Amino acid sequence: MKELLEKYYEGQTTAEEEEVLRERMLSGDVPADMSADRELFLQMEAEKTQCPDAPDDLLGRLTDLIDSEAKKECDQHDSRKRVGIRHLSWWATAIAACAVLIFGITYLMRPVSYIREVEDPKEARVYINMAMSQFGKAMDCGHRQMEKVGNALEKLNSIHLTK
Amino acid sequence: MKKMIIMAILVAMFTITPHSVCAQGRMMEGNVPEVEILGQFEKAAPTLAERLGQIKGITSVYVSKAMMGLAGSMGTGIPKGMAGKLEKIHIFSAEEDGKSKELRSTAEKFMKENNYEVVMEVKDEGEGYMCIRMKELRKDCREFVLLSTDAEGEVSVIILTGNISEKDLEGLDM
Repeated sequence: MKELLEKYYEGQTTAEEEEVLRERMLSGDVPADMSADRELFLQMEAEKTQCPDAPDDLLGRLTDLIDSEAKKECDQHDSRKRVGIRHLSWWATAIAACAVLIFGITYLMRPVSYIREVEDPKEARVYINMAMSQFGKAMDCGHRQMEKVGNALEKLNSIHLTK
Repeated sequence: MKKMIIMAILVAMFTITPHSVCAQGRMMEGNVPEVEILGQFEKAAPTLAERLGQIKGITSVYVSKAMMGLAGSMGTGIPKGMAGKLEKIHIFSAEEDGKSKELRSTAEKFMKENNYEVVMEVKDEGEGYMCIRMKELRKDCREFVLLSTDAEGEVSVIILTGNISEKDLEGLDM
């Protein structure tokens, strides 16, 4: 009996041996020096009987609880997603407003051109001739000025040589 | 995310500048292909003609290459060597005192800022003031600008654009 008890405390007993030990301890057929051990077994048995049986619907309730928690979690995720989408749509609106503003300002600030395109060949001829004659006149004037400078330099040279 | 959106807005704001609008202006003239404008945003700075074209109350005229071809059949003063090379002609003139000053100062300021080369400059009491400046816009395309002020104070700016050279202008010598 003592050997079996030591084996039990060391956790080396089998289920059958434990059952034998338990029965012997509870029956009271125990030596006096093992009364403390018997007391321990009696307490263990008392606790065991005090533990109420699990209700039949426990599994169902637990499953429901898990399902409801999972649903709650899912709802929270969805609401966060909706807030994210709302944020995104706010930004999209802001960007669109900015783009419209920029295009609007650019359109209003665009330089206005007062240049008229000549569409009549006769009128074009007049303008072309005017442009050509103006350039010709300018080139002519430039050459005349160059000639004047040339003549002046020649005169200076001749004066220098006569001296 | 917010930073990316702000960056996108800033990029959009810098992309849509008056330069791109000026490119639209050039499209109105119908001589610059749309593809070129879309592909060259960095080159879409306003030209002298576009800038002067914004002055209200002056005579601003544009003659396209096609119109030059039509007018050429009737005989123009364009020398033979220059006929096919000219792309366009712009003429701006102002008689009114305030407008003529605005035209001259705007043209001079633009040419100074854009480093136009002085080809010739004459200040004569009888003739007034005449100045020819040139700028190479791109390969085989130059812009010759004649800015003149006559004795009465009338200011005119004539812009010849095309694959023309100073030698071609020599041919215009009267």
